[in-house]
Amino acid sequence: MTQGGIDLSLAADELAFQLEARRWLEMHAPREPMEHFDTKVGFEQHRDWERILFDGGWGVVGWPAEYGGRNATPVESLLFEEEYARAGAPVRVNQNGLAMLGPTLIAFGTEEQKSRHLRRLARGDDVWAQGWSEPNAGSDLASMRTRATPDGDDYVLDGQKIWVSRGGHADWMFTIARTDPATNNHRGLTFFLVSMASNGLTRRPIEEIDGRAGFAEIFMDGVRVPAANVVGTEGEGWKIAMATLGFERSAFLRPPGRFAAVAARLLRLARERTYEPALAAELAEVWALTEAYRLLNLWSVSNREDGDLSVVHANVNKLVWSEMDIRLQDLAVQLLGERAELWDGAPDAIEGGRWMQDYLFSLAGTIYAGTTEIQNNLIAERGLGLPRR
Amino acid sequence: MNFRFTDEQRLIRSEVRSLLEREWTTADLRAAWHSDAPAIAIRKHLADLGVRGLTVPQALGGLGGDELDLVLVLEEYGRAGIPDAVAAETTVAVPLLAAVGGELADLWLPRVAAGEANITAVLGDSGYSADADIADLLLVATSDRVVAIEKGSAELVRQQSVDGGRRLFSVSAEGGIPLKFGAGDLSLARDRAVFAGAATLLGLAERMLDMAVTHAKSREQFGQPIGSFQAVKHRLAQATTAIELARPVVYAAAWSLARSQPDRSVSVTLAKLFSNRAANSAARQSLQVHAAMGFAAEHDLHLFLKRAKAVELSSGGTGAQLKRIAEHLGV
Repeated sequence: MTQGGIDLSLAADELAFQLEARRWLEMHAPREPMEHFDTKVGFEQHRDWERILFDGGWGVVGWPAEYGGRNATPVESLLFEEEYARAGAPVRVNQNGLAMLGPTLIAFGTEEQKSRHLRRLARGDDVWAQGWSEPNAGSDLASMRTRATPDGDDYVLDGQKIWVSRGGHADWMFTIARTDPATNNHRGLTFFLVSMASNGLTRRPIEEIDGRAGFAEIFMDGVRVPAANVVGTEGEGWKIAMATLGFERSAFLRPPGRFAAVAARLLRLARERTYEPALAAELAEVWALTEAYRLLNLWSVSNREDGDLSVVHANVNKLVWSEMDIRLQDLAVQLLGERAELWDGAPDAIEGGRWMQDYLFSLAGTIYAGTTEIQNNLIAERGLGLPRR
Repeated sequence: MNFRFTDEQRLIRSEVRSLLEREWTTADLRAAWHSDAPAIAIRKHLADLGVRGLTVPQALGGLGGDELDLVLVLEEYGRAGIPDAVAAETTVAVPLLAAVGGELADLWLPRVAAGEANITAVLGDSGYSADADIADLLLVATSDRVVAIEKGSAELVRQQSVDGGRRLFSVSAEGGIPLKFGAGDLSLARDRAVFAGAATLLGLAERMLDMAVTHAKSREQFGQPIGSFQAVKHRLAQATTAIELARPVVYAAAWSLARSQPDRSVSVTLAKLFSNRAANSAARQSLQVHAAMGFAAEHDLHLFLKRAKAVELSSGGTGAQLKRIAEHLGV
């Protein structure tokens, strides 16, 4: 009948791209493990790596060439992430900037903002934090109270942001504040780019349950932000933030290759030791999940415009990876058994207790980037058309 | 790499869907439960549309399609709840007979495409086969060979299924014409049977979810539609997630079969694992949302819930799929 259509094998140019990425990463990916990027030393080590990656042409493969990308197709971007994870290359310290702010600026930024920020972001010269949540505005993000008051050519920001990823060391922050004090919901919000070096801005790192200080509390007391640092127009903040979240929940914050690499490590762990035979079924399950998640991402990038549910692809994606990650990491500590309890510093600790740290971090996956409950609401309301209360 | 169906494949899907919405309503499904007569008319309608011969070679009067042309049609068969023997015939029996070729294929395949004959493949150890009594030709696998038996020569025992619309028989064969068959052909046919189940389950899951969503929008408690309650929304979102995860896995298995990929068996196994999960999730959540109404046999939900369970078990339960994956991984 029909020729053409679905073909899940890689085309010649895709194979060439994959091979080029693999060769470059084999040559350049650091052999020695770095300190975690939420330490001062680790942060700068990771920043240095971002520069090597960018200067080698692999920092932002999917971006337009004018900002240092190589116009890779979504499929090629997924292939790159697969190779990146397989090479064991460092976690991207600027991932919120790369996966969220970059696409947002490309879509909504002024030419001046694009030329000022995108290349520096892509090269890790500026590492970006995402400052959205507030102590009383978590899932109910739209109720945020940080104020932005116009004053001459500036806005003056007053308020408090919390659980700000990379907040401890980042150079810049993308944030949202209320420009219309008469509102208390998603109206009257504006999207800002704020230098972390601004006068009146202070940060307090927060220790997480995994022992790292991955996020911070940010206090803004009369912080002056030039009007040129507004993304979109005043009052458009919610619309832009929702687009940013779509990027966050899409494939490129948590690409499938990352989980496939974890599954491969788990299979190696299993082969190296004796383990409870009952865990074999769970090994099969989690490996199957990583494969299904890979196909889900290929399907999503190939069918973005189709069907009633395309609006919730990103939400489905987020639910799948966050649950899968917990299962992967929990299985890892089950396979390691008693010694997995041992924390950094214990003489018998395996890899400095990293598996337990990773397990604990995986538990955050159903919380950040929109909780599981919020994702479920969005699927039900936007995908299935169920009534909002 | 391309993971988009062609316009033609989508068109066939929508034609099949509109035909089945017209010609196979839940009233027809209920009638099948109560009469015990085989569903002949719907087979004729599908033949008129051309899809009974979807996998019949063009030289024998069919469309010469492969699993990629078929998978969306199978999904629609599942969604509508037509007799699953139709899916099995097109997915398993027809390609098997086409591979054997010769006089038998020349004789029977044009008739199948025209809707004038039915054939079935009986591959499982149990020897169970739906609608076996109306099969004009049965391809029956025994331990070491496959034989072709014409209608009337096989011993059929009616086995009541939990799914009253599934007219099940156990088939035992004495004699018959031995077919020339490689071990590879038989394992391919078995993979196709699992794939047919997976694609059918995907459609069944969608149907059960659709029913629940419709119900949740209209049923009111505490003065408002129950679909406005988060507890209900989240159940339906979970079923949606299970279905949307299974979908690309099932479609990838179709590609793997159509293009004879070396890891075809693994692809099919994954498809079945995730479609089992999706169908069970949709069945559970849909029943819970319909609540007592859905547990009453006068409601239509159980027609699909029972079909899903029967298809899940007859084409390989979850345990069997996990075992195959574990073997593949060597764990």
